[in-house]
Amino acid sequence: MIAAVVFLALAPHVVAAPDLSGVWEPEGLQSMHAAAGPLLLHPEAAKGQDPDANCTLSGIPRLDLGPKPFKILQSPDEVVILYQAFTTFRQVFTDGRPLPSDPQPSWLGYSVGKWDGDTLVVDTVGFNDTTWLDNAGTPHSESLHVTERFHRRDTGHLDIQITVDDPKTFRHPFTVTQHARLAPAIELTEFICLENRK
Amino acid sequence: MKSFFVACAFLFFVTIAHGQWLNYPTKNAPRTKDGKPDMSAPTPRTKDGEPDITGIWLANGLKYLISIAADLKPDEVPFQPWAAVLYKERRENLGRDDPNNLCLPSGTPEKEAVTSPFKIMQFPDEMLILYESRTIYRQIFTDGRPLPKDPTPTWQGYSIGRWEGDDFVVETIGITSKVWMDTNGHPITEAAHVTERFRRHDYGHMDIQITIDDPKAYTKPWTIVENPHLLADTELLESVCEENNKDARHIVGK
Repeated sequence: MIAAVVFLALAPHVVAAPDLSGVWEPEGLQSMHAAAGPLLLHPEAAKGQDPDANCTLSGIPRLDLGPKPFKILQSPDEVVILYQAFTTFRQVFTDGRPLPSDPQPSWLGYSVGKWDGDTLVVDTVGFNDTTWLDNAGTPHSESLHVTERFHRRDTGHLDIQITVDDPKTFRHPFTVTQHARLAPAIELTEFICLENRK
Repeated sequence: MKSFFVACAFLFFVTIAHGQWLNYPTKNAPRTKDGKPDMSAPTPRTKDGEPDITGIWLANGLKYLISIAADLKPDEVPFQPWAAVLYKERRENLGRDDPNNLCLPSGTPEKEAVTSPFKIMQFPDEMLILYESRTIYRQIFTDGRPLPKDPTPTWQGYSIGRWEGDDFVVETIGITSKVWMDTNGHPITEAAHVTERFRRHDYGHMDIQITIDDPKAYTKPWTIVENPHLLADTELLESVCEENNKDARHIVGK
């Protein structure tokens, strides 16, 4: 009996990470203009054509904003996010590796994640400056650092608190929240942009 | 000849790209005394006792990307007559209409022969393949669901998978006939039922036995074997074809 108590006291306190897995449909937020607009350092800069029209990839957090669904698959060392848009994916490494110090600019950036209680905190850097932050054309530079806090409020609801930190584009960081709803009856369908370009 | 240059372009990109990526040691890799991954170590196994086929893999050179039938004699490919004519036209046109020229994706089963790494990951209900080329993914559902009855044709098709002994067996239907199975242009149609058997021989080597059962294009099923090798201590790069597709207007061919 005493041995059992001692054993329990000494056993490592293991808390399982919450499971964010599932197909999620973003709802609501498509534009960050309300929060971002007043903070633009260069509001007069021309918007240009939507870079998505070339069938290059949307960036982050635009892919999270939808409207197309995404699917989260979770393993101990990595969370993978599959996006129906472009049939593309993002790897969020949760094995403790640091963000790269001098990354080659890319469309989706380089993401690492760690658990803060029930919330997965994802940091992403290493973006090129070609994409829009949202469907409304909010710009950004290569200095962009996005923090997404994924919190599964209950079985059917995921909140993503998105903080945009880009000192070359905005006066100071700002935060918006996207919500997503579990879509258990669907799978992602293939979406090849070049075939769907109108 | 054109096919060779197209395929070379893939290989060139892979060579350059690996020099730029942040290397990160592969967890749990068996290592030799000098710290390098031991590619001859035995096949790792999962908790369920099956072979662990996860990891980053790469085709051994251009061979199967140029021709999926590279190991067969020409008369061993059982073309239907119209398919033989189409294949001949594609070769004479120097692969002018290869969808890859316009940044359309490789489909099943060409995708694993593309000379860019792909990452196999295992989850409870699916095996997932992440492809560096086009930064695109393929889901292989392992939750026991049947193949769909009348799927909308797609480049990847619809795949389900299960274990048979030490083979991970993937069945795919619903592949669009726009897919070329290689840069030579072996055709495939929406009638195809492709079976891929993944068998990992040891830590660094795997066979993928591919059976193409497409009665519209071929008179009987035919089988080839590809042999990717493992890449350890690295990660996938992002690769966006449309970013750099400046030469579409220079495509030659009749």
